[in-house]
Amino acid sequence: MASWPESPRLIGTSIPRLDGLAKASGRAKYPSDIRPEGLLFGVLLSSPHASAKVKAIDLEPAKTMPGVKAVLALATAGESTIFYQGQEIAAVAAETEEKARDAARAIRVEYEILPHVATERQSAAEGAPKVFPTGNTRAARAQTTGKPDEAMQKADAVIEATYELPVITHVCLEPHGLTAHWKGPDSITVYASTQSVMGVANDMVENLGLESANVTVLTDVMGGGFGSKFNADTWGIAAAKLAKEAGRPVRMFLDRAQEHQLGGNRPSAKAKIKLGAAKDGKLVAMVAETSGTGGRGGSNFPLPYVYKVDDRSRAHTEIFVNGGSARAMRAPGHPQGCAVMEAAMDDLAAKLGINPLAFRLANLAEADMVAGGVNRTDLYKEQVERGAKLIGWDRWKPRGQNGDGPIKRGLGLALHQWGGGGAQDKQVACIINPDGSVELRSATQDIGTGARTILAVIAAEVLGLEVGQIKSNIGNSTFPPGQSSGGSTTTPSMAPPCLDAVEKARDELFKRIAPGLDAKPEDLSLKGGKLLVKGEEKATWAQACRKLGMMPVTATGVFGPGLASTGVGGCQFAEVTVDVETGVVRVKKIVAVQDSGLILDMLTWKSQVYGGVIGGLNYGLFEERIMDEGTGAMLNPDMEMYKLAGATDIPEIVVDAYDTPEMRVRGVIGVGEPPTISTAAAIGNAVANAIGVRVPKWPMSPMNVLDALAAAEGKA
Amino acid sequence: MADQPDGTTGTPAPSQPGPPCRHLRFKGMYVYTDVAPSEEPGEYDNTIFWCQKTLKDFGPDQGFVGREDCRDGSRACYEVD
Repeated sequence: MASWPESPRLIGTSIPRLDGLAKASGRAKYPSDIRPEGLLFGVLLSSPHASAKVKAIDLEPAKTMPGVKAVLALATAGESTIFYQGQEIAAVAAETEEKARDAARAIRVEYEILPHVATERQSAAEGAPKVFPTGNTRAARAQTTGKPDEAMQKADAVIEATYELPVITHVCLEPHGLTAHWKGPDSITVYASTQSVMGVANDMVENLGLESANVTVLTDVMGGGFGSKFNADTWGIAAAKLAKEAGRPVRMFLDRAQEHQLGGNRPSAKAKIKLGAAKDGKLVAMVAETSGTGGRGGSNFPLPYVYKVDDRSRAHTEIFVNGGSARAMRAPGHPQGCAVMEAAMDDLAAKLGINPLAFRLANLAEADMVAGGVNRTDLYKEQVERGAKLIGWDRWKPRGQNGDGPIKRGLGLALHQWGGGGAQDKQVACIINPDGSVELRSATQDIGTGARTILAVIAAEVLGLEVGQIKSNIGNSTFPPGQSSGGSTTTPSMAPPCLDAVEKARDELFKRIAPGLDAKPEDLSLKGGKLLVKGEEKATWAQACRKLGMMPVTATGVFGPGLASTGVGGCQFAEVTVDVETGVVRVKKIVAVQDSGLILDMLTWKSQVYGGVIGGLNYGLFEERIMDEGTGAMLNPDMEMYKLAGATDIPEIVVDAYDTPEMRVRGVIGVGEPPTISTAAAIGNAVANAIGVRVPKWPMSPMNVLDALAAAEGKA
Repeated sequence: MADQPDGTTGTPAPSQPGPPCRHLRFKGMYVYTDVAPSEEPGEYDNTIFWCQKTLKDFGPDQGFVGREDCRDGSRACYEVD
């Protein structure tokens, strides 16, 4: 069975990403930066209405506009239903973006406007118009374990509360889109901002009737996806069709408003929870009624979360609205489940008068076994201890005891979990050339996690080279099958075949050059850029490779057991101040403790945790899609009124890698998603600790904080 | 379109669902390549589906895309190999 090096030189150290300088200096070419000769600019015409039928579309006015080269209807008159504002109607390609926008505005569309339901409240209200053919709501499968009602009666303390989290959008800095460039009548190259070059290629094959061999999708770097960029999308296929019609490449990226309306979102969550515990602090029962909206898709989330409640029931209702469709978003469902569970845990601990940290530890399952025979409960206990020291939990005071003036200070914590395993069917090719250059190839992509660098670290480790000597060539759909970047699976899926490929290539190199050195292949080794024979330096790496003559070494690696695993835990602590006169929350410090098996590059690993925490902070403090019930329109489809953290909103963030010998032997586990799960929950609990009142609605905005304070005083 | 229990009309849940339509897509197919869309979810299901023909959460017939919705052989857009 293959194994990771026992005493690595590079693995686990902090190595800057290979493309860091190019990205920081602006030299990196993102898909939206690509400008092939003859490029046309595509613009999408989208519906201004939230609910309608398309009665007629007249493209002719656009076709005669100056500079317009192609126009395409995406809706069908008499057939298409509009389910939300922003839905695609038509697409235009023109010489400039301005000309394309003018032409899109010239398209005449006749709508039959229908009743809409823009919010969960509006959709589920008594007497609401039945907007969707199957009804406005759909019950998910109800779950009951044990006898929750009976058990609840035996509880010494019970809380009943309703917690809410809004719909938020992905806000990718590089919007969704691609540039389509036909290389012949039946051959296309696509520069896509995607998490899956193979997925986009497959969409091109299926929707354009092309052969797979004639489709190339390239993603050298890309500006964020967070789960929302797995397919080519209607506008991507439209770009390809417009490019074919015009005979020129077409660039089609969403504008910022469309990015909010069309590019996906994280579903909302509402949870009415009854949670009971005995005097000794053990949970005895939970009864939960939950709901949420993902547009017309799933909005469910895990509950209970992390903690053990034997007697419980859960009923979830999907609420359909005339809003954009949900898409997977960094740890789908977990941030919502974590926030409502951790809020209920904190509120119950306060009612019992128990320190919330001790209350949590008392309610972990005795055995929470994950892959590799690891009991996650043991990890949680150590992680919470480490996090408590780093935040200074010994300063924690009960609610209502956190300051006499208007500025209150509070501490909160939350626990989370994730899988992070990988697929076992991906491949990496390793090529060692006679000039000494080394190239890795795979049809995976780097969505910003450092995937390119991590593969190079592995190759450099095995070949005794520096990371910069490795050309990590990914983001090309024609390379050996690679992992789509989602579910924190990229590294655990790609690292094992990379190790296999490089070891195979090294062994083949040894086999081919050993005879010329009067040695056996097993006598050869590599260290510090040198070839060693029985431990003695005999040649530089370049000299050794020249002995290959004209033929490079090429090897393809596959997944091997024992190199990757799944199942992680973590905890986060937050310290906040809250001004009870203005409702303004400032996060002063966040501590994130996280395990994720063997860490290949500590620098990119920590960057993932920082990014996850900042994403979670946005969820906790700022983000909210605001819909207008009167018109069905999104009121804040921009980056001004859709609030995100600025530099001065980012607190001190302490990242603590739970990087122990026991974790390293588990192999590689992904870390993209876990560290974003519990941040909003920890912030919510810190706010409650500070002001002595639960703010039941996220984000922790001034309005929600002041509303909660007013409600506590009976003024709501 | 048949009457629904809530009084609206629409496509009823299929009484004997067939295999998933070949155009049904969800993230798990991309990241865990051995997961089938017909596989029953665990304790909660938040899978978000789309149709590869429309690349949207509604199908060519304007009906919903979903685990059960896209096993309904009576839909005009339903296709299996």
